[in-house]
Amino acid sequence: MPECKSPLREELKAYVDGELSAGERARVEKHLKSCDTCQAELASLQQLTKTFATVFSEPAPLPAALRARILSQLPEPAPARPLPFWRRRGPQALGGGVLAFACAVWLWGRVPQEALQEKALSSATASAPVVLPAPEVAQDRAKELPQAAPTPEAATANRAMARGEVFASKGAPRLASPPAPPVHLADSPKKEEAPAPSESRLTFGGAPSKPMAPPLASSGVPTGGGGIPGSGSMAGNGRGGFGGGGFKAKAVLAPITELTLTVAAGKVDATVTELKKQIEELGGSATVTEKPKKLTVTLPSEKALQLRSQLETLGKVVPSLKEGKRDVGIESLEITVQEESGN
Amino acid sequence: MKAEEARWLAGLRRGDAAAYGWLLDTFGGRVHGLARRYTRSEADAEDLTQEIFLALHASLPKFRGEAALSTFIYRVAMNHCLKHRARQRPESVPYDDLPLASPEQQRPDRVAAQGELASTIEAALATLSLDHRDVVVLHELHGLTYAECATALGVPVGTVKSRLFNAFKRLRGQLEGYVHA
Repeated sequence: MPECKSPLREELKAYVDGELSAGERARVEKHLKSCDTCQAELASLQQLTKTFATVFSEPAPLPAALRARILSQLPEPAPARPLPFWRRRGPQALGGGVLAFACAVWLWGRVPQEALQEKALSSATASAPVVLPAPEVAQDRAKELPQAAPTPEAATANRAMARGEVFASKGAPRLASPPAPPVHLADSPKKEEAPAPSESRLTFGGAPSKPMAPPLASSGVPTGGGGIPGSGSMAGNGRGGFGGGGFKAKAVLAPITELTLTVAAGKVDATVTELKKQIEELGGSATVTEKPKKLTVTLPSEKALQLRSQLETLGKVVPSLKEGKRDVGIESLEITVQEESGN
Repeated sequence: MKAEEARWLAGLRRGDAAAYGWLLDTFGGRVHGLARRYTRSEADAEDLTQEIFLALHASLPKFRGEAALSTFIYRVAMNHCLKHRARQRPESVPYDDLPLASPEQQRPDRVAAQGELASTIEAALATLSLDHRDVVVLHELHGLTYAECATALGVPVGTVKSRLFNAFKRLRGQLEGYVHA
């Protein structure tokens, strides 16, 4: 049988395998009708292809030993990296959202205090003096006022105070200790340089004299239930650092709760009288004690700024109220009035 | 089947051990059979099979489904088989001289093909060039389409077609008298 010279002959295997397009298949079939050689070759290819399919059927499965060996050799999958919370679903996403919210609250607390003071003061709605027990006041204040991060020194002092080391070392009865002085560290030199209590400066009530506790130890440390209710403990409970835990553990600069007003010689009594009058005009009340001359003031929150400006007109105020970092104690304040010394 | 394969494929991309169990059950026999064609001993075949599946373990997470999973597996397997054969050259030996000839005949898939016909076909395959033999193995023994063979071998489809035609032209001559139309 003569060999076919048509290029379509090379398509025969693909024709058997069904790998030709419709057009190619039609051309091959047309050629097959007129070519006996290709018809015979086609029959041979079909038989051989069928034989291969028969002889080499489905392969044997993988031997079990080899299968186990391969599985044992596969490296451990790398631990999945946790998805960012915005790509998670369900409770994980909720947890991420809560975390984001907590971060936002924390960042808000780091906004400069001066700007937030005004907001806090303007938002205060109390129209009458309210002197709450220390914990309640602290919680209330914690809601109203932004908080600032404690200084490392203040945190250290808080820890020491939490152990009762500071007051205990000074021998002061913890339950009768005076309100915590301001936290502001810049004030500490002034306080340390302040004159020792003299006869013209009498201690408030029956509390032991403690005009200036060490600044570091005074930052927001609970002072117990004594002294001026809601004054010292305001800074100590929640603001001091470790009482609340979590985000509440963050301390802030405590508002000034104790001031010293220095006036000209011989003007102490007049100033005290004038100051008491002004406080009463502002809707507050003041209790005057002697030796040292001290006013225990309760004042509506919204009047705090006004009192602050009036104090500056009466004499020299220590700590300075112009630093702008703290507000005057809102609900409760102690003002010690003293004469200028040696001038 | 496609949906099931897609589910397993997702597991393979995650490195799921169960998915690799499925992979071995589904393709292990074929890959092992292919490896045996390119090795001289059963031990080498097992090592090559393991090498192929470890390579698949590393590469499957990157597989994006551009081709069928079986095509991808054969591409990886052929790459390793051809490399292995290249390392073995030039001592390539015909199939009938392979030391695995005896266990080969014990395989269940060869039980039906035992005898003169199977040996004759194997001998005829051994006379083919390596390129032609690769195409015949993939298309006739493993059932890959021309396109899949082209992908696995990295050659055009037309090359697969011509190689297969020429391989069968030669095989017809070798097997004349054994295979009757």
